Amino acid sequence: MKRFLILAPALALIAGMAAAGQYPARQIAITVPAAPGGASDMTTRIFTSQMEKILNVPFLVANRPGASCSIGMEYVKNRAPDGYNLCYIPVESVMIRSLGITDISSNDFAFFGRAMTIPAALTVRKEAPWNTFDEFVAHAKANPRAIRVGNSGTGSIWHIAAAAIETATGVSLTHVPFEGGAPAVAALMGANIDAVTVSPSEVQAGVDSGEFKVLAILGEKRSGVVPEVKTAAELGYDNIKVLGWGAFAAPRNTPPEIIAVLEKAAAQAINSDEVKKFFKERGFDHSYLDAAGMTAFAKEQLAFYDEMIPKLGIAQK
Amino acid sequence: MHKTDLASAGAFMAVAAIFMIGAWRFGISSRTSDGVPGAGFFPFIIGLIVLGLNSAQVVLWLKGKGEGKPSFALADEQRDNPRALFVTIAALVGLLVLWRLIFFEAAALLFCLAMNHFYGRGKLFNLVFSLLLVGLIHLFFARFLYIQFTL
Amino acid sequence: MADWLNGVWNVLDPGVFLFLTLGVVGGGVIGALPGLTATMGIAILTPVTFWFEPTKGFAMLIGLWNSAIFAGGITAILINTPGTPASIASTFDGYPLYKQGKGGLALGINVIYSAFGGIFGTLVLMFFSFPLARFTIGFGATEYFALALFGLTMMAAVSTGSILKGLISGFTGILLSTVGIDPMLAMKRFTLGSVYLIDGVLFLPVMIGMFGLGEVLNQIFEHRPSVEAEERSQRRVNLSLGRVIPNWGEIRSSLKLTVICAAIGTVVGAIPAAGGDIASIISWGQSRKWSKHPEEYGKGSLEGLAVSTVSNNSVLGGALTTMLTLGIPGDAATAVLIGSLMMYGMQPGPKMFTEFRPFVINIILLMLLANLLFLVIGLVTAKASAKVLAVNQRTVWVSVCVLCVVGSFALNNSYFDVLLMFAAGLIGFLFRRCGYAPGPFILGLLLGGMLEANLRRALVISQGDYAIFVQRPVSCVLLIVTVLTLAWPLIKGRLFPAGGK
Repeated sequence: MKRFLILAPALALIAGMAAAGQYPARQIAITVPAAPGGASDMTTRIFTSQMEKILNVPFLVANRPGASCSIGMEYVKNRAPDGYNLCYIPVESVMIRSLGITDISSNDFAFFGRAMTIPAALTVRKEAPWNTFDEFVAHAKANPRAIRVGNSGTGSIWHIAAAAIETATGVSLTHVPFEGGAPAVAALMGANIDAVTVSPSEVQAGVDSGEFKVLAILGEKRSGVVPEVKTAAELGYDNIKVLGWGAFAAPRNTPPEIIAVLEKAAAQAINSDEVKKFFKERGFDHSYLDAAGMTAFAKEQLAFYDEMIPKLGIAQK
Repeated sequence: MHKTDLASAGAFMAVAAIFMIGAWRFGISSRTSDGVPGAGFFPFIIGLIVLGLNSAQVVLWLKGKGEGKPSFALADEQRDNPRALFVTIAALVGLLVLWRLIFFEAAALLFCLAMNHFYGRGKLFNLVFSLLLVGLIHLFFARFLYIQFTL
Repeated sequence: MADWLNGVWNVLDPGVFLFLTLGVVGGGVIGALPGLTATMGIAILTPVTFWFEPTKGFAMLIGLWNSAIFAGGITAILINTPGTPASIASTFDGYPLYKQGKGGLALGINVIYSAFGGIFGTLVLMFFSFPLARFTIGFGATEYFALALFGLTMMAAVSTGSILKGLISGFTGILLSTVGIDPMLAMKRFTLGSVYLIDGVLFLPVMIGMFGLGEVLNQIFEHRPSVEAEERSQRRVNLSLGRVIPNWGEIRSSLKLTVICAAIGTVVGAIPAAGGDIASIISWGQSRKWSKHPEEYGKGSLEGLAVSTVSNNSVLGGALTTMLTLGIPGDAATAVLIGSLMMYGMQPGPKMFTEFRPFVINIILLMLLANLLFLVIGLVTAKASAKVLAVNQRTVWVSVCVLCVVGSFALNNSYFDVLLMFAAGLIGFLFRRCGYAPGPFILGLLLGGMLEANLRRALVISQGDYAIFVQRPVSCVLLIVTVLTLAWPLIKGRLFPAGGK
């Protein structure tokens, strides 16, 4: 009996190390906090199809939509940090706390890779009297609240993009919220509003057919969808950088060894040809960041939105 | 006309009142200066309409002196039905609770077995049916659609 | 012409045909199960289709899409629970028909008219896509508001029993639709501090609960052993005599109305964000007003079932119209299809009809073929499906209970949705017992959000000007039609007093 008692902790230690060393040993579940078929969902599915090949374990994708991605993220946050429950983390993670929807934020997760970014694109109709971003701003200055800009919902990333324009240039716009990016684009196409600030891929059809023109990209770099359009930074406005992004993470206290395994696999998966091709087809910007880079990026974004959102006057406790 | 119309009207009016009180707190008149109604405007108005309609209902009930079809009347042969109803509801609650404690397929199996037994179906039928139903659901949802019933 | 012949050749390729069939069968199962939507099926299968070439992949998706909408009507008829929201209106007459022992006939009507609707919608896509899309893209918030208002006037038409109670039921539904985040200001309304109520009272679990579970509970309460045996043997007799196909006279008498409703469905489908649920409810309600036998509606009218099934399938043709010509998704399902097209390197929009014309032709032919395919499969299995439910009622009770739980969970992997469904089931039971129709309630819940959001959005766009509702032609017309619809019974009474109908 005594011998067993002495051996037991040693065995436990060995077992623990073996388990960590053997990670992953069984199916990994990954939660998408959005509905099936959307950008987040498709990105995750193509990512996991690569991860399955690299790590040799099956991945199970579960959709848990609701409350601006809070429900899905809350679910994963509460799981054991053993590396078998992961989450796709979208930009909403750095916004929901200041929006007053929930207490979760990007700080509750341990990132192991960023996959893509989606900049906002200021888009207007082809017959609009503004051909450049400067003309647009000038008109807005002269006619406060005259220009109606559609977005995918009050407090959404695209609303904030339009608000960022207001803050950086000192103009005043009228924001028209819709239930998503597609209805906003439809409204622009039907000439019911004057502009939208949504993702380039959502307006791509209109741009290709000549109905729309994109005045500026409000992000880090030019979009592959409309490569000839300059970013706001290139046009001289440094403070208008609003991006949607998608990254992958595990619950916060996941052991670093496990994160390292995931990071290595994710680097390979995200940078694979299939994933690159997928992003290109869909109009997303492939923007890989490793764990450290993504963690720093998330902190920076959290600070940005913590400051930006209360200024919009919609935050509530 | 039902005998219970007064009670049901009262219930609806209570619900409407709760919404209206909440709506009042959100602010009825415009919050923004361009004349767009505030967050409480719509629920308040609709609540008002519901109150109005139910008042009409109450008036009709009073005029009819509370006569009308009984809502929960039972003929002789139906006398056992309320018990069956309560047992079914209790079993459903049991299913929902058990699901949290053990896994769904087991809870569903127990539910089927219990219900069929209560309804007096044959033991063999009960077993086969329950296994088949839960088995098919598991196959289709968990295996094919990858929707696992984990909470 | 050569393009079309080429297209037919492509589409009749055995590989393509196999995928189409898989899609149709899969869609049939997914559509029939309450809680699983066509969108979910398409989303889950889309990654699978990337392994194959575009025509094959799309064949599967299109087969699934059309078939799911048709199959939603099956459970609507057999257990009063629509398999997809687009089939709500099919419960109004479908379920009474089943209870009268004419389940086989109801299923047959569902198949035939669904196929008719789908083909009609596709023909519109072929010949009128651009004008239709141009018309519906102009729909702004004012038009959506007017459309929602018009849909809501169907509340009275949809109430079985006391109209006052129907209105109470409906407006309470509208009231409940205000729970959640305010669409304009992003304020939390009535969410009781719960994350789960932020998206509001979700429509699908409530529908499953009220129509499915509520009906089961009511049946348990009302069960009469003496009547049961008789009803069951009656059903067996009807099934064996069973015609599944309506006779020619019946088809002819409802021909005009079904064609009109197919058109309504296609137009509504072309409107972004308006789908089969609104289309079929409007069709049913309007058809009842124009019908020669309005008193039969809601009690097992063949015509009533026909118009609701035809319009929810013709929606697909309309939705494809907007999707292909403008690249705008009409609903979640078309959004996924657009994603698929982009993966194949095709850009929906006017360029589709020039650069990728052969593929558009393939899509059109696949739509036609999918409808014909489920027509055949559906008719063949209709009798069998009706027989399946000529079983002991208690088997149905247990199965429906389990399926309602499973279906409401499957939607969002959410336990809360199951609780919502359960509560809705209890409320549905009480509604039925106290004489309140569940139909208007569901209608209110469905359209209330659309009504409010667009009212306020229109005012944001017009910057506070209410006149915009009558200044825009389409919205003005819709509002006038709405007013007329409400006032017609009174006007009729004045114009045709006493002696009139």
